[in-house]
Amino acid sequence: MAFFNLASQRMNWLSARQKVIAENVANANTPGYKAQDISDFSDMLGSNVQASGVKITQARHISSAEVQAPGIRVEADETAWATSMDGNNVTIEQQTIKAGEVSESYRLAANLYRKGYELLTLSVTGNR
Amino acid sequence: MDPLKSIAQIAASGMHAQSTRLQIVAENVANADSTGNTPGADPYRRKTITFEEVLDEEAGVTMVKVGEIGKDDKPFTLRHDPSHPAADENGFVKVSNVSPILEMANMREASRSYEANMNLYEAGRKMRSEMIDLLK
Repeated sequence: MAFFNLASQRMNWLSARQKVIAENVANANTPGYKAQDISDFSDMLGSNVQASGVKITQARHISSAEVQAPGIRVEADETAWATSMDGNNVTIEQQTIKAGEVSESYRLAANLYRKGYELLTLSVTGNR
Repeated sequence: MDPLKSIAQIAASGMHAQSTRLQIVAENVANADSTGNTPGADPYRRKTITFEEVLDEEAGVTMVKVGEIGKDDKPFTLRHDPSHPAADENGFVKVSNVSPILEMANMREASRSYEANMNLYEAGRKMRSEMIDLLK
């Protein structure tokens, strides 16, 4: 079942990335805003962190507002192409290709997941 | 890096460069009639733009970026208009060295190049998408 776990982790990572890209696009005209990206997928796989933010040890503790999926960090995008005069470094073209890349990768992961599921169904029932 | 993925990045860098070029053209056209406002003052000087290649080491691809936004040192022309605030003692006003024909050609070229990059991106995206569809 490790395969399904991997595929869903991948999809988690991709949706977190898409969220950050959406934030970047939304702030494309905000003066001083710096483009962001999330840590690599391999970092997410390598980390054994179960949840980010402050650990909750009691039911009455307030959870930190923005809990990302485990092992995902939002960081400044170092690869931004250009900074405009108002200090904003979001490039619409760059964000657009990233969004396209993410949605294609998501489709790939979802297709693979489905394929795995079909394989499993086939072995259990003998028909698709 | 997956070549089909890098095509998107390269094409987008091209689109970004071309849109900056179009921005410069727009600035030139808008300021074609900007003159000084003191006697003998210099008018707007036409801006120029150069592109250069840039190697993205992480992706291993060569992209394009805006090199330098410079000034056109073509001499200004003189126009006889003694009532103008920028007129010198002989009644001549220096007018900007922007040539509308040149700017129009530049605009066309920028928009066609943008389109070419967009088509490349589309082609790459389609190929990738078809490959993923093979899984079905």
